Formats: sequence, structure tokens, C-alpha cells
Amino acid sequence: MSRTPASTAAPDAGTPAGVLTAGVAARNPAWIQLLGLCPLLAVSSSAVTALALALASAGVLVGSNVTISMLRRLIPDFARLPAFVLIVATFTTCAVLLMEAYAFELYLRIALFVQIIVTNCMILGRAEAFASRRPVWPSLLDALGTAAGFALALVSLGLVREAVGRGTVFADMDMLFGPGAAGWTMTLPGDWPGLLIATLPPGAFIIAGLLLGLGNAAVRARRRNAGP
Amino acid sequence: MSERRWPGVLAFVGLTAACAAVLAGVAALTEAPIEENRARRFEQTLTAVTGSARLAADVVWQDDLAPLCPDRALLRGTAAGYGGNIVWLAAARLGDAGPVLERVRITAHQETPGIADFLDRPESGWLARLPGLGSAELAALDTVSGATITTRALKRDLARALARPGLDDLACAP
Repeated sequence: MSRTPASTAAPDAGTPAGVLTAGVAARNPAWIQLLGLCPLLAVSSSAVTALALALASAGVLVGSNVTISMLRRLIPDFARLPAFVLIVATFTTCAVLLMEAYAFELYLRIALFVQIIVTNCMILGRAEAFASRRPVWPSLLDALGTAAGFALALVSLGLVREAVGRGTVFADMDMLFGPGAAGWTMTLPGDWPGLLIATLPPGAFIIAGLLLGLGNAAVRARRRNAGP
Repeated sequence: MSERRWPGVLAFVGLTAACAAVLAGVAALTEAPIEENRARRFEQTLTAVTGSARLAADVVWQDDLAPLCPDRALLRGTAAGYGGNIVWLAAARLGDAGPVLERVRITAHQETPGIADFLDRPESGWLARLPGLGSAELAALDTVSGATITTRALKRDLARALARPGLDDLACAP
């Protein structure tokens, strides 16, 4: 089957380390490409729900990227998008079933947003732009980097929203890591009563916008310091 | 279809079969813990509705009604909400003035997240206003702005269940 060659622009065409780190920083799916924002905003009301969605998304992304890369010569070009969606949907359904079986309380809170991982354009985008044109090893690195970048965005937003909204950090981690994690909760000093709006949908937009602005300012400052 | 496409079609069919096999395997692996989780969740809800620890097997349903001795009854039903079925479980106190709701819990729903989150928070919001209401009072209860279809469907279904003939005559299990 004929495939057009992938873009040779850095960092995709670079070293394994370049492929891995591109998804975290230069091509971060959430903060740079603004992909997958629906679950990002909806589920990041606390660190535990954000981390759970990040893990589920990572599993689906790694599984689908590797599978698509392995089958890239077998998947017919005229049906590649249905084939990609089929593979992504299979991994998403597996993630949903595993979550309902082994993390039921979390499943009850975020099941809907785990199910819509299948429509996350970040995953389909990596399948089409990278995994369908590259061997398994770079595709795995690409998936790991992209998943880490998405997790970084989700968890940072979840931590800030939880801290501002409830005055705690890492609360309810036992839902994800078992009873031993019940004591991981940290309470902010000074009896912060919590700002409810931070945990509600408007708060998600406001805090995500502020974090995005901070990130952009940091990138600009770094470029200025680097000079012409 | 062009003959050159047949290998691709067969590959796609093979991929579909492989995906189905993977899903069947994972479904078989997770079936038992999922059933266990759902049963435990239902018993937690049952305990919350009845106010005392109770096993699902202890409840004897008769046409979506079950006696809770000595003067209460358990009701269950399914209202047609905005996004799909809303499955509810309620305890009612039976008295001379007619049955009134004691506690209501939603066990499953597909209503819009964010808009209908109050269905998952029975201790506050709209669901917390239901205890003490009879069939007639339910009709006069305000709906929730933005979730009118959801709350209207629940009101109707609960009122219909409370007005069911035979509710007052439920016999206690020996």
C-alpha cells in the first residue's frame, strides 16, 4: 500500500529521545496543540480523576499506536480511518471494562469521559500522522511521549483545581491505588476554605486559560533570552 | 468492487474479527468482578434507601413493590428521562394519609453530565426535597431549571408509583 512519507521536520524525524520528548513539550497535545480539551476540562476537577483519565488515555494511545504500526502494511489504504477507529475503540472498550472491574468508584465518576477517548483527536492524529507510517519502536516512543504530555497537562490542571477548589492535594487517591493511598491527602496550610468555582466547569476554563497563558509567557521569555 | 480491493477487504474483516476476539476475552476476564461491583453498589443503595443494612436477596419484590415491615414499602421504577432511562429506588412510609416518600436514590441514568449531577447527590439539591412528599405534593413540586424533562419524568413516575393501588395492602414477609 502506498503511503506518503512522514514529515521530516524535527522532532519526529530526530533521535528516539527527540521523539519521546516532543510529545511532552514542543508538541504537547493539550497545551500546544489544544487537542482532547473536552475530557481535559471535564475530568480535571481533582488530581485523582485527572490521573485516572491520563492512565486510561495512555493505555489506549500506546496500544493503538503499537497495533497500528504493526499492522500498517496490512491495513488497506481506502479503509484506514475505519480501521484506526476500530482499533482505538477496541482499546477504549478494554479500558472501560478494566476500570469498571478494578476501579469501580472511579468508573462511576469518569466513565463517560473514558468512553469518549475513542473520539479523542489526539489519538487518531498520532495514528494517522505517525504510527501508520513508522515502525513499532518509534511509534511506541511517540505514544509514550504524547501520553506523558497529555498526562502532564491533565494532572497539572487537576492539582491546581483541587488545591484552589477544595484546599487539598491528592485526595481520594485510594480510588486508584487502593486503601494504602488513603493517607496521601495533603491539606493546604492556613485553613483555605476552597473556592467552589475552581471545581466547576467555569473554573476549568478559567484555570486552563491561566495555565496556558503562563506557559506561553514562559516559552516567549525563553525565546527572548535565547536571543536571535 | 475492483478485484484489487479484495485483499484489503479481507484484511479489514480479519482485523474486525481480531478486535472482537480481544473484546470477548477482556469481557470474559472482567465479567465476574464487574458483576460483584454492581451487586455491592446495589446493596449500598438499598441500605441507603431503607436506612439499615440489607441484602438484595432479602427483598421480596412483587411487581416493583416490596414490603418493609412494619409500615414501610420499597418501590422501584424507571422514568424516561432526557438522555435515556432513569432507574430509581425509593422507600415510602405507609400511613392513614397515604404513602409518602422517605428516601429516593437514582441507581442508573444517562442524563447530561453537569446538568443532571444532582441525581448523584441525593443528600442535597432536588432529591433532598422529596422525602415527606406524597403523590399530590409531588405534582406541585418545582422542576429544576435546565433539567426540566429529567425532573418532570421522575416526579411523574414517583407519583404514579405512590398512587398505585395495593401499596397500602402490602403484606409483610413472615
